[in-house]
Amino acid sequence: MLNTHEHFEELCAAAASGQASEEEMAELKSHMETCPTCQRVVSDFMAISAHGLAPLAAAKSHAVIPSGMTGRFLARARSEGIDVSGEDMLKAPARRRRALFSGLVAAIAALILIAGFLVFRYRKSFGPERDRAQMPVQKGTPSPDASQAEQQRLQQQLASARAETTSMETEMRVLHRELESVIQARISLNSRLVEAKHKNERIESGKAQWEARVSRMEADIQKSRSEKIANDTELALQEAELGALRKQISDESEALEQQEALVSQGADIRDLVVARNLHIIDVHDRDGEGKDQRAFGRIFYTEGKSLVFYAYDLSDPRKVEAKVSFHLWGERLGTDKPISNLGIFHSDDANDSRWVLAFDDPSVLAQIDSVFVTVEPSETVRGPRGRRILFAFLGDRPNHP
Amino acid sequence: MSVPDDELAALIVSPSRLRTLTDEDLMTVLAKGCNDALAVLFERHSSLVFRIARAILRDDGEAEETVQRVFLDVFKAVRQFNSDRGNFKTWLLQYAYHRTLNRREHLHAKRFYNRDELDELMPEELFNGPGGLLCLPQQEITCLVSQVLAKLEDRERRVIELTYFEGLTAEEIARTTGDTAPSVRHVLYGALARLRSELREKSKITEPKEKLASGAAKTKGILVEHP
Repeated sequence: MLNTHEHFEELCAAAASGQASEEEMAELKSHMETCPTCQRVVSDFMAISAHGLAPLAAAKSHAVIPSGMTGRFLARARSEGIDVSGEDMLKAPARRRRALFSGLVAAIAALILIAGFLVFRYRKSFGPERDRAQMPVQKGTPSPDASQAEQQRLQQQLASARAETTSMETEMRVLHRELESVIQARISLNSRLVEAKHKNERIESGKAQWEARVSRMEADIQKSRSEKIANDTELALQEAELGALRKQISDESEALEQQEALVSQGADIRDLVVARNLHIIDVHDRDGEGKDQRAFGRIFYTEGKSLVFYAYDLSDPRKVEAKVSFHLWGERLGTDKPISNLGIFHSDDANDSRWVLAFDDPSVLAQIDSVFVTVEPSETVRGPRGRRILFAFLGDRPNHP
Repeated sequence: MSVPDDELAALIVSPSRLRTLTDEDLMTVLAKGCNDALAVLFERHSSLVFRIARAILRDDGEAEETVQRVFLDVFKAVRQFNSDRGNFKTWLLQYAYHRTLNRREHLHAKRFYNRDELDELMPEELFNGPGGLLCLPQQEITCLVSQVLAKLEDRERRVIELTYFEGLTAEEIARTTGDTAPSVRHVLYGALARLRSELREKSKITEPKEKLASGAAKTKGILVEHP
């Protein structure tokens, strides 16, 4: 029982020897499409058959070449439309062949004549003496000297021909050896060629693998680049969203702070409005002649609790210099208690030129009964050094409610 | 090409000069339209082709018909010839052998049913195997086959001789030897495989390593290479 592939190799042999049926040829061709081994096997079998065995068969054949085969072929070629005119060309070599054949026949005939003559001369030279004695000298036969000269000439020709034959045989042996060496060299070169082809195939295979690997790496890099671009885009979107959220939080915090401030201010105002011991004091500055100017400030003072001082037009150029600070001080009139710094006025409404200061330290408020404002060159001073521009007494009775 | 274009006209008007050209140069000028080159090629090689055809077909008339068809095929396929892939004689023998087998198949089939002869020129897939014995010169293959043939077993050599030298089919050989046709075909396969193995070894042609590594085994000295 043949294994599967031995079956196909046997089909290769059948195909190469012309023994395969149509169905077997179709089966083999179908198999060869995917089998490089069978492609090589059938190719080798065909090479052995067509280039090895068929020429051997031709060499062993005793078939006689039909005469006129060339002429019949040329006639058929012309009948099939091939414009070939070689008849005249073919006649000349035919004449040469006939001349060669004629020359060969003549040469063979001459050799036969020479051989016959030599045999005749031999028998004549070494025959019985009595025959020679009894043999009469016939009229017209060559003289012994002439025959001997002719014999020597023929012997020289024969020796020359033998020498030439020997020389040609020697030359033929040399050529044969050269042919063998050429065949061996060709076998060696073919072997090297096949090895080089195999090496080249291996290199090509390795190159293909590397190219495939490079291709895969390039694809990976491209994929990574695409992913990075996508990630960067997503990150930018997230950062934008985060910024928006931060702004929203900031806005909401600010709104919350405003609400808290409003609530706080509402509570302060409520505490201020409902306080039992509230002083609302309008503060006026005086010029150098003791006359009242327009109102410069208003104080909301809750005894022992808080003091809010609103001042107007503090930055009027007629009253103060630029880049100065307005400090509020507290003191108890008629005592030596130190003067307390209650803080610095801040701008409350620039359009209205309104300034404000809030103070809510009960312990300090309990020790003072008057406040005044000075104009100082900086925000940090140890005591009131500048000009006093506003004064208010807190010791009166609460006037509200 | 060793025949410059400017010499082509001279070759056409002076056909005797064609005789000085090699087979490959004759194919070149034939491809360029100098049809007398076909006559010179026929004169040089028709005897060999005739003997090959005669050995297989065993009929002078059929052999001559095959010779004529082979050279007409050569004329039709002249542009397919590439001297870089082998000499003309190698190419011609492939045509001759394949055309002769086709002719025999046609004659065999004609005994049973009237069928036209296949007009295919050359089954390229049968001769185009990669890197095999076809890279060797034809004379070298003939020489090596002659040497290796003597080493075969008597039965194998007999089947080879009857197939290739006497032109018998497996059925005809079976009738001669009293064997069965499948058995004869198997012996023929074994003999060709032995020849192939010996020739590859002598010519230092090795099988591709990937095939050998994937399942090479030896059976009766024949390399079995299929994975």
